[in-house]
Amino acid sequence: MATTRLGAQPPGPETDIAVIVHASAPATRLGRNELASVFTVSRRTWGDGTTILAFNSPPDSPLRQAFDRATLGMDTDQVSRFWIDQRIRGGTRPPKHVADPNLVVKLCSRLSGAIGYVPATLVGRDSREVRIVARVRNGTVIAP
Amino acid sequence: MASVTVNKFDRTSAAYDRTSALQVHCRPDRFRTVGTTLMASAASLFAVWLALQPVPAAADQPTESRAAADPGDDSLPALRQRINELGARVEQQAAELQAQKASTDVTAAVSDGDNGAESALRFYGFADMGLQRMMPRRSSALNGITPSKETTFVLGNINLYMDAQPSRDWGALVELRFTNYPNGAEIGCGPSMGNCRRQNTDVYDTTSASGGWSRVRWGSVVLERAYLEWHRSDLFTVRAGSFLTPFGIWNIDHGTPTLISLMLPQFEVNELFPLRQLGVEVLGNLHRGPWELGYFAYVSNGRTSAEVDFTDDKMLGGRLYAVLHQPFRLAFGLSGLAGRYSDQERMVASLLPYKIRRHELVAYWEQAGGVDFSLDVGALRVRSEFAMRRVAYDQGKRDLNYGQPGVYNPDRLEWDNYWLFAYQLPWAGLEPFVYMEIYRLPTFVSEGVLSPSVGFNVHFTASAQLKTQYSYGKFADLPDITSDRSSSHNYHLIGTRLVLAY
Repeated sequence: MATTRLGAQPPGPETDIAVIVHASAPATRLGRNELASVFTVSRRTWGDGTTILAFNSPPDSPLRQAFDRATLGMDTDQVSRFWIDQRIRGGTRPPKHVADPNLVVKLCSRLSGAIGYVPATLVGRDSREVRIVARVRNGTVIAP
Repeated sequence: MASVTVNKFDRTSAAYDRTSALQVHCRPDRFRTVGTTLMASAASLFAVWLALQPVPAAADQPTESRAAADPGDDSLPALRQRINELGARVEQQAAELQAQKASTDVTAAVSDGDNGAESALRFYGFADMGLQRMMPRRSSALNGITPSKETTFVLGNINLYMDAQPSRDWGALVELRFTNYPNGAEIGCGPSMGNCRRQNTDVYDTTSASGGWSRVRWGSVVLERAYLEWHRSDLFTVRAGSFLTPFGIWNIDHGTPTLISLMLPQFEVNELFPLRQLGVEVLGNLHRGPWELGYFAYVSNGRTSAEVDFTDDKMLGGRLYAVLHQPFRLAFGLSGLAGRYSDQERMVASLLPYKIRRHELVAYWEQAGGVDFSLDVGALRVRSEFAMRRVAYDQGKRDLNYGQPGVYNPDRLEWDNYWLFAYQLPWAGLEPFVYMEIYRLPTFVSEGVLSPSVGFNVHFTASAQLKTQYSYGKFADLPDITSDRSSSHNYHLIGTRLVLAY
């Protein structure tokens, strides 16, 4: 498995982002709306009632910025405002940050209900521990 | 008890005698210790004896070891098997090590979510402070309730949130506002009343190390909300405690950093609905394509004059909403509530027998409803609400209009409508906005008020902004908004606040 770290090789627009879930998650394919609802925490449980554990990259990472633009249609500043507004309203907590994409893969492979996104090069198509449910390519969410 | 010591025995038989002595006068546990020591010594001797013995025959060894150690030709498969087993064991241990490292990494590398620490208890909040100037006309009744007509610095909101989430499904939220009130609060004021008495909370600081004659001004804490929450699923979350009434846009947005304009709509200021309620609330949502559909429903004490409800008629209310998140944000909401207000006093009716009589001073039924609309397209933000409230008093149980003696509130239909347009310019975080509101509230001054307003926000960062707004209040006899009968009460209001969320 590649050990590319985000900070060393930020994904460019041509780099795919793979959205991965735990192998047991009841989702095979997630669209832009579903990803937005998961990563804004307006959706907190999977269809089978399992709590969703979403892992975000830190706001200043290129991976996060590319993902937010594609799924939420927001830039970094807008995302920050969004979470401030949620906080003032007394809303739910944002997803946890995980800086290392390799760790995101590990977490998603071990924690049921987990969902995260990593550079696609980190996840093989035949992975049995995690499932790719969506990809982000050229700023667009596409099928896995 | 005998206290025979070793020294009293023959030195040549000291070991035996020491043991005997210990048996005579020591505690049993000490005897066991000595016995254990002897057994350990014997075991050591046995181990030495074993080590000196010839290597045992292959037949005495376990099967695996025998296979691995057998140098014959037929041992090759066994050796391979052994190597494979060892390899598998190494892989297993490596996996376990990796798992341990991963669990350590989770705590070390999984850090805070956006704008907050992901811990059991989080503290955050917002503050705003700035300048304002209220300018009622010389003949305006507002002079009776406006303490200052000059430009003044003001300490606005200093709010602290305590957000606890001890487990995944359970949480609590407490929001406090710190204020210098009741210092400076005026009692007995009203549009037609005379001298106000101003409260002063200055006291001698008797705990001061400087002698106790310095002065300190004590303030207070406003409990904005405090509730416990249990999350069962997206469709079902329960809150119990004091929560903000889920009515319209403003009461949910709630805080200065989130609201677009600085000044609140009149129906919010005059509490067309109770801003917060004490009771139980359930809420949930679901997603259908790009739409999010949600609800709030609650039962509460409703509007009360105390911290308890004087009647069994609870307030029932709720809110339905639909939000389109993509490709732009569009939201519709429908809110409603109904309840009964009662203010009572108690008095001793007789001492023998002892009887207390409860007397209802004010009582009315109220129903309120509203629809709201919000739209965010690119840099444009549009907000609008229409809300109404019907109040019907019990016979002879009306309350005073703004505390004016002899002036009672009528049965009435209040309503309010506003439109707000804001546009974020591409320069310096500047966001100008225009606002128009019409509010019907029959008072002794007029039937209602028109509030055209303009302002701008400067977004320095996502969490810091400057809000400035000017508003003109024109009292009118609705629906004839052009009437000037009440224009002597009109006013101008300008304010600015530096706002920071933290």
